[in-house]
Amino acid sequence: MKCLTIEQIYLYLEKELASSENKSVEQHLASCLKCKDALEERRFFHQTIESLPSWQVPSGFAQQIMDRIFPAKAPLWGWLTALAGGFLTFIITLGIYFLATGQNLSSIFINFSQNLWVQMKNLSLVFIKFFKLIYVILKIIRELIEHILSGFLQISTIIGPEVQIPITIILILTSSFIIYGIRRKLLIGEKQ
Amino acid sequence: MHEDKDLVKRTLDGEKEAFEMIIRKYENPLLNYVGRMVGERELALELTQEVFFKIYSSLSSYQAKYKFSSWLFKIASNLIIDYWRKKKLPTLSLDQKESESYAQLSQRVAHKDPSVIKRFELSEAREKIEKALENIPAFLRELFVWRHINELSYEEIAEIKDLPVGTVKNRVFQAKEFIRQQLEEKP
Repeated sequence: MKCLTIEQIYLYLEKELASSENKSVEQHLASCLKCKDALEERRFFHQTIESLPSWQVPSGFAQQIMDRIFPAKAPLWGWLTALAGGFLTFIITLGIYFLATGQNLSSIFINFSQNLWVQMKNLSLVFIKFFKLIYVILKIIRELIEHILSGFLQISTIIGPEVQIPITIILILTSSFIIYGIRRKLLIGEKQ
Repeated sequence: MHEDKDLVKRTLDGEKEAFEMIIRKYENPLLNYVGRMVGERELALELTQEVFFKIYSSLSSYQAKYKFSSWLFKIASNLIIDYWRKKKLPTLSLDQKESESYAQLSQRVAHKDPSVIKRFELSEAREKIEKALENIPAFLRELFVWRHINELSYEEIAEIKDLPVGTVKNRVFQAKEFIRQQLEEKP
């Protein structure tokens, strides 16, 4: 038998030869030192390529693909919250309109239906004024809260919570009386 | 272990978990194939994701008469070709039909057949093989990776590439000898 081809050697190592060819290769190897050396060389090479390190995906890889294929839908309660928010805004707007114009709700609705365009214009003006007012109020409140908090922090270093709570209650009550007094004074002024 | 065809059917019926099982089963084999073809880990991860998107979008066109893994690797192979074309990378086509320049490798055992690989420690040999793998033509590398990294059968590779089994065996052999000779040239 002629010496083996390199391809034959590889296929022999992979057990990919037909049984008859396998037998004749083994017979040849038993008598040919040159082919035996070539086989041993390829055997080691073969073992090395069979043991090449495997690449691994990072953790969460499958989930990442799933999230891109099936993006999460907004839950139903999310839509309900948005709807409730919208409704609440509408009610607050009506309330502000009521306070600003002094009309009762039924007349607002009647006027609203009678002259939609005028009401829309009024409402948009009210909205602008309202947002401007809210902006100013929030600014003032923020500064006020900052001052109060810093004050509380200083006080809390001096007095304990058993004194802090009554003081807070007194402050809230005093503020309420002041607001009530101002409102009353304004109403009297309006009547006069 | 779930059968691939069953997982495909369940995915088509709207069961998301079935597709997740397909991903988990093939994420590493695909990464190993794509990674060895493009050479960069981040790019390989990105392209592997693309393969799964492609698989999901074309799942309805999968024909059960073919092995699912063959269909999957065929998609991956086409995606890599598209990527190289888009990037205009100077690389040999994966579809090359002839490998004349490597035909001389098909030879009998020479009188002097120097031992190359035994000169190195196992870890060093592995490293050198990985390096040599980057230098072999893409159409040979692909078959080598499928056979020796993904451990696909010659018949399965032949099905993926639509080539005769004998041609696949010959090309895998050429790839191996090419790598071995690279080690000889660059000790």
